[in-house]
Amino acid sequence: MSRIKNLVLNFEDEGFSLRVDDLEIPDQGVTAFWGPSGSGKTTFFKTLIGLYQPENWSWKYKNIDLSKLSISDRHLGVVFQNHELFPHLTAEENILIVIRARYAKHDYDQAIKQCEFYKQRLKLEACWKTTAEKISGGEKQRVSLMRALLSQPRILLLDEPFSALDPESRHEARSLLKAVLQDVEVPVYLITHDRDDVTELAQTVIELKQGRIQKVGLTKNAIF
Amino acid sequence: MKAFKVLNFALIFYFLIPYVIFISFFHWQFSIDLNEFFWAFKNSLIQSLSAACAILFLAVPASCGLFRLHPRWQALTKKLLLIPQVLPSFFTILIAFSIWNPFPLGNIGITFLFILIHLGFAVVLIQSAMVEKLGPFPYVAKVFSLSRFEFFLKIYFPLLRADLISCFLLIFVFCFSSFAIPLIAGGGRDTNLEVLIYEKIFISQNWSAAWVVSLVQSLFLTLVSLFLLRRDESSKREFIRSEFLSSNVGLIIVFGYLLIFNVGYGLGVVRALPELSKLDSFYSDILQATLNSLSLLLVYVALSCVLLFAWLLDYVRHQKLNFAGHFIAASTMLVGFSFYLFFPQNVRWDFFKLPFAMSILVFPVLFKSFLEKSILDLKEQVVTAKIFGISNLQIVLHIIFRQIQRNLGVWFLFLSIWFICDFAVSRALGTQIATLGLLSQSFLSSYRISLSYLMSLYILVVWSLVLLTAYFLKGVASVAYQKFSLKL
Repeated sequence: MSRIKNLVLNFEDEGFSLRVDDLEIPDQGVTAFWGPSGSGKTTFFKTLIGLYQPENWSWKYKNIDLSKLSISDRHLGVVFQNHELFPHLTAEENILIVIRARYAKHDYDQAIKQCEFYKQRLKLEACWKTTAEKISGGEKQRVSLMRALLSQPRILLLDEPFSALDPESRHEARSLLKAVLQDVEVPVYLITHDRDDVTELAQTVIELKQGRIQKVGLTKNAIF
Repeated sequence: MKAFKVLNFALIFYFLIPYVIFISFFHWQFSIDLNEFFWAFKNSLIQSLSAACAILFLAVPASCGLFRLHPRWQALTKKLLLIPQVLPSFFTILIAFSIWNPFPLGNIGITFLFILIHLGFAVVLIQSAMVEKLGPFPYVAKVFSLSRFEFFLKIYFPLLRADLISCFLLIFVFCFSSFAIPLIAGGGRDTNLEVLIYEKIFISQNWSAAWVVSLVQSLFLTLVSLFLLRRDESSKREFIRSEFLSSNVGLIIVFGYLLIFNVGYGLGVVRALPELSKLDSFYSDILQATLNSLSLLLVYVALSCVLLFAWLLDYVRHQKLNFAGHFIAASTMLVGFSFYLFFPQNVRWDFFKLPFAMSILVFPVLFKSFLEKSILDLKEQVVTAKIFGISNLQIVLHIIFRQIQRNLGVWFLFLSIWFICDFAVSRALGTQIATLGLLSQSFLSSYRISLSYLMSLYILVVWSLVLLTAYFLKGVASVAYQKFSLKL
């Protein structure tokens, strides 16, 4: 279990606050943070990736307090809502720049093997040498996923991963993600407002409402 | 991480060096002639205020004039309008001297030159603010049948008040801290503060008076600059064109202005060409000045590149731009005077002094004008890169530099022309080295306008060659970059 304690963020101008007193999150499988707009999902996500820095909070994972680490040192793999690929780099370069940052030189062979594996699995051969600004939305989403998977993450964070896709591509992408995540050994946090994402991908669901944790439970028992 | 704290402080300190030198040499000896001081201060105020007022008065309708143009022509016209602001003041002085003959030296002449230099910039600034702040309101006002007067009174001015004040203050600060224009066009009468400091140092050798005047001027400029930083940042709304913002009078102002500047220069050059043979007697001077200017430029470009690299590393580390970016209105005379006091007076030191002083005076302005926005636009990419543990150096090399190449080109374009044409900073530093800018200024000061025009043309040719060389080197650099690019 990873454990978040004393997370308090106040946005007085917007009349909103996020408060998580004590929350345990499973160390395996997919945990969905689900809630409607304005429930605090994005604030929660931004805090986890280090964009907000509340005082005196802790996020313990395998005896390491991630809250005390810098953005880079948290070693997270993130799939952003808008993918946030580097637009001037090719799909390949977007992956390589992260591999160079996260792998030791003597592990490059292993990284390249994994890279080849995911390139085929995620069907990225066609856009591999194309700059990110020129590839389709679905391809961007898959490159973004591959980047996160290959970043040797402690935890994989997926922020509304399908929201930028049209309904048809969304269904296809969800199935692909589900298949890929079965082989992933690190915990996955899925931030979403979409119930289908929760029911199809997550084993555990944590419901957020008005900046507070409402419910924590297994997805199969959850009633939306 | 300590290294980055040192870097952050070092960058601020770099731009404060003239002030530190200034303070360490400072001692109160109040031997200043107050009448003289207030007279110069009054002149500075008259020149800056009248220029800022006139510019704002013309720029508001002129910015509406731009909306008469098709968007494609509008974009081109905006670029042309910026030429007088970005070209060294030497060109504007030449044009003014040839279109207004005999040129009225003193407050009127200086104010006219300030207007000529800054009007285009103000027009573009206000027009951008209109697009950003007015959004759909001009259209909405038209739909609800408001009169144009009501629109301007109730919507335009309240929404753009902060931007108009900002524009006014910016022009005011530029004019108040200007040295080159009053030096040439002051003509002995109507001396302003910058020229007074110059005269106290280099003519009457009254350094204590120069100290006091510099101090008062710097405090005054800092005070005004502080207001500039308090610009409100309202959110962008989608702009919809409306008849309310189209002005024929404005369009006439825009084209009149462009005509004076661009055609004025062209005519000046054509008139000067028959006197080309007169330059023969200055052949060795020109050759020496060219070599000196190019050597100095090399040092200056190297220094600016190091500074830019450090600046970007600092930005990536702290995810905000260095505070030194606000030092956009440093007084030429203060920087020049400090270095004049501190460094030995010989040609060898000039090779260091001049690029150093120019970088302090020009780097923040150039960065703000050509690089800042595009770098800030990459903020989310920088955050993403940090999340994935990409090092600061890699972020600067692979993410920032690769995406701002075009802006870097424009940055270099202006950095080089400003440097080659400079004469004001060289004068303020009391340098002994002959440069192309100083040679041109000596022709101008002795009213050999034709020779000045020919020199300006020669400078443009040298500049073009510099740009060609830079373009070639960029090609070489990108081949070298491939070796270090993203491969495992």
